[in-house]
Amino acid sequence: MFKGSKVLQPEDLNQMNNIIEKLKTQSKCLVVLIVDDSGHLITNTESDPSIDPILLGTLTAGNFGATNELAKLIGEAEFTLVLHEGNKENIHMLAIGDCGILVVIFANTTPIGLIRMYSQKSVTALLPYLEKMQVEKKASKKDLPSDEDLENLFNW
Amino acid sequence: MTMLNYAKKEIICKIVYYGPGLSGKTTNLKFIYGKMDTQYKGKMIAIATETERTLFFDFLPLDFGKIKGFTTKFQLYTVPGQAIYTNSRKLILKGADGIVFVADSQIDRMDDNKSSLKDMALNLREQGLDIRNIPLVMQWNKRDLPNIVPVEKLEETLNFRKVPTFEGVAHKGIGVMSALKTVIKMVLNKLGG
Ligand SMILES: Nc1nc2c(ncn2[C@@H]2O[C@H](COP(=O)(O)OP(=O)(O)OP(=O)(O)O)[C@@H](O)[C@H]2O)c(=O)[nH]1
Ligand SMILES: [Mg+2]
Repeated sequence: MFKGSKVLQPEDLNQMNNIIEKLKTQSKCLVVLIVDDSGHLITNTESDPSIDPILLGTLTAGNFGATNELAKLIGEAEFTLVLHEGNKENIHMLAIGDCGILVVIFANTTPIGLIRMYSQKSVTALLPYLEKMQVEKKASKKDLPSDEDLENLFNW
Repeated sequence: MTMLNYAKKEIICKIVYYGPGLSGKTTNLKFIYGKMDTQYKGKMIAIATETERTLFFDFLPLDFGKIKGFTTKFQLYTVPGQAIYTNSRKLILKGADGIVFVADSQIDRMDDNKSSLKDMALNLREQGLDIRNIPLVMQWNKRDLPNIVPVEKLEETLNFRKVPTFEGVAHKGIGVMSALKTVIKMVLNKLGG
């Protein structure tokens, strides 16, 4: 079987960005990220430059995956929600079907109920876009670096 | 699985370093991190025990910038090699586009190499991937040590697909960049092929 690639189209990215911007405003959270199931960051709201969104995406995907192994161990099919509480900030992660994770970072002063409700709403809105990405399409050769491009890129 | 982002004009691929415990997977990533210019690399993280054994994974994002109009990014991961961490390895393999199998050339590690390869086949399958066609290269690491298996023997025992192989001394960088470059080419050729 060929597992090609996931494809993200500009108009879909726009829609997803609208959804997470709205989530950010409504829930009064600090940052929102969408991560796919292999740990790639799909998109995020603007954040504090000290937060590296790529790293955050990778770590949350790993964390979420590990938590779901825990779920299986105790006989649950999955945990759809993971919450980490810090002294000042918290992380709320919610599965987007089985295609990705919605990650919300919020301050302790923000009520968790608000985060929970708006995350849930956003997940419902986001799911069709993430499902649409799973097209397993090949890339066009003209967009990809050739062997020669790679050789010349730097001194390997 | 590769992400082709037409909105950001960006391609992201995932490469996983697999192999038995202590074979040198983390050492490969550390060397690559040290060798790459700052413009091409992000922050490397290692989730490890106090004795530097990988506990969950290492991660190194590479960004080759705009080539052919698309920004090309690779995310390198290592798995924890110790036998007990098979569930973690399965997680890390999710969506892998290419694999570097790092074998330990020492005679007394041959059984571990073999079981790691088997474990990889099973874990790939659980992720819907196939060891028979995923882009794969192998590195025969620790060639600087005294009690090592001859390369022909490693080829015969482990390289069932006749994929490209590299003799390695990972902490000195021997066979590291060539293995990476080759697997990257294989991934891109498959993606556009
Ligand atoms: N002599 C020699 N030592 C090496 C070589 N490559 C790695 N090492 C050493 O082997 C030890 C283990 O290397 P790691 O890179 O941590 O091994 P790993 O595969 O990541 O191990 P796990 O995380 O447990 O799976 C370290 O002390 C390295 O310095 C090599 O080519 N030759
Ligand atoms: Mg390691």
